[in-house]
Amino acid sequence: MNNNILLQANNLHKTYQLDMVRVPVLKGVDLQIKKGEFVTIVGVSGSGKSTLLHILGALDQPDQGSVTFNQTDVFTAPDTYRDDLRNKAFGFVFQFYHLLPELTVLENVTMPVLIGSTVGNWLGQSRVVEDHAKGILTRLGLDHRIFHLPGQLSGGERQRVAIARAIVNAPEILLADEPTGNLDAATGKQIFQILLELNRTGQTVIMVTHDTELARQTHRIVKLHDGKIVN
Amino acid sequence: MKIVDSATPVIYTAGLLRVQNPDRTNTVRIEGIDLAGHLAVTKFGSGLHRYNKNPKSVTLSKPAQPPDEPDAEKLYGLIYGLDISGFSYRDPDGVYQRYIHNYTSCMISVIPLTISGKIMDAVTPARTQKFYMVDDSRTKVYDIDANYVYVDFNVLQKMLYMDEQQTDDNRTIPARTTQIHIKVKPSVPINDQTLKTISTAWFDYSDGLDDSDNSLLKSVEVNRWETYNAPLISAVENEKRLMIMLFGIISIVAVFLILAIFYMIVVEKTRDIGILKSIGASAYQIAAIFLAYGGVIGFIGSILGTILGYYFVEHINEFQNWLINVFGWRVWNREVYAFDEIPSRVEPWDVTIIIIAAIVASIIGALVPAIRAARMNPVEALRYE
Repeated sequence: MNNNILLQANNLHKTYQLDMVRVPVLKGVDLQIKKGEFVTIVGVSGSGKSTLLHILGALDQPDQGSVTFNQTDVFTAPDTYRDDLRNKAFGFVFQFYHLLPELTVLENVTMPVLIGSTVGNWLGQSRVVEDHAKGILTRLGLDHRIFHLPGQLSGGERQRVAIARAIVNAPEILLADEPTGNLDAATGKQIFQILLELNRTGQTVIMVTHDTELARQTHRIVKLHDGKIVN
Repeated sequence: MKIVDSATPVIYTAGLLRVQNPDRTNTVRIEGIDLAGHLAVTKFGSGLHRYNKNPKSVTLSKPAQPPDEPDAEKLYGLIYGLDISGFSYRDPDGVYQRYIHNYTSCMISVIPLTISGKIMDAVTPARTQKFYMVDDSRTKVYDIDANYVYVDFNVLQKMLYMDEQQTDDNRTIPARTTQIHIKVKPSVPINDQTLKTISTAWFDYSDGLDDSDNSLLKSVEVNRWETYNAPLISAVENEKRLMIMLFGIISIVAVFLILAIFYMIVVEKTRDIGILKSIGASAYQIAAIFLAYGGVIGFIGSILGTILGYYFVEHINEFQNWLINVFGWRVWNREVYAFDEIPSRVEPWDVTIIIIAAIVASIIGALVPAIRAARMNPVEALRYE
């Protein structure tokens, strides 16, 4: 593993306002993610794991502190930069899959490429992109599900589609928010094996999980407690 | 004149029309026309019943007798308005049943007026002449068809003493007419300039006449058909304006309806919006999805609306007849609106404006929900249930 720092969070603070109550979730988090690392963020419910992952992935903004990606401050850059990061540099996998229910498996997987293209580009390259997406789906054992709708798939299959969508643009970091949390133990293990396999091929992975058994198999565990990282 | 295609004199007067079978007397307006000239200048011929079947069978300018009655007296012909009370029955489908037989005799009574408009004292106040009713006219303007009869110009001119007269002091009063109908050439636009040209030509002509009472000639006005018939047209125009206003209000309501529907769609699709944002969709792209959706709905709606609207307008009178037959609902009362049928015409320019307005209205309706969707926080959107 090299020492190149890909993503760096400095003194992150985040507070949610719930009606009249202010709930501080992150209270000064510093974190560095190196290229090729597989980092798991663990902690009890409400410790701020998902919030931290969302901020690292430019889905949410911190109240205070900064995140830099490849030496660029993510939150002082324009909106288009963050849109671009989410589209090309980051790939998200969620606990509840979050696939578009009206689209087929193939359409869900090619969606990030479509979003990142102009109409002209897409018309020119759609066939190539579809072949690329089919290749990923085949690798993940979903070649027979390409034209099915998400509603016709099992939980494990849906999560594999979500992984395929997350990696279709070859992102620099894969962010997984409890990817096994909605699956039975055996299926969860299969999904985790896919993430491990991706990491072995050089994919940087940040995963939020409750499962310490899975976390132990990764390079580094970051434990959050009461909005702070603890050893 | 280079701009005039044809012209014909017309005399207008009021009188009584008496028919013995069916026995009735109607107050009517009488138009003295030169039939050939009138047919050339106006579209009068298209509404004549018998003339259109056999043009030679209708003559106003020569006394004639019924073809199968050689011993009958010879009389001048008269054309009557088809909607004159008691002469016909119009069923709800707009089909007429005629009660007047061909060559039914009738009496016309008129009151001759002097050149200054007074009742002539020197002669019997009313002059009556017998005619044969040789045809009926349907201009589709109810007010005209229910009140007018047409006789030969020269015959009516003589009845009214409007032909050339010799006064006691040996003065000659020239023959008179009430109006001259002018048809301009198809290439000539009917605008103020054209009216002015005709007016100038008229006054140049009248100045050269050796007429002791030139003031009458000076009072001639040149107007277009629409100006003379403004009272008839304005009722329909007002109705049209009212309809535009009503449909305008409906369109505004439709915009709010689209807004409400799109707002619900955005709420329903909140999680999908979050998903799209999480994989890199920008606020503009999210807004564009909903705006394009609004535009497509507006486009499809306006195309369907154009097809249905065109069909409806083309068959509006048949539709009204159907309403009368089935429900007894009369939407268009021809006695109120003067026109016999609902006047309808599809204006391509109006249709184009309405199509564009419909698409723009749909996009405007989708705008607020689109902005709301674009501004959604992706994390909150993903958590939405």
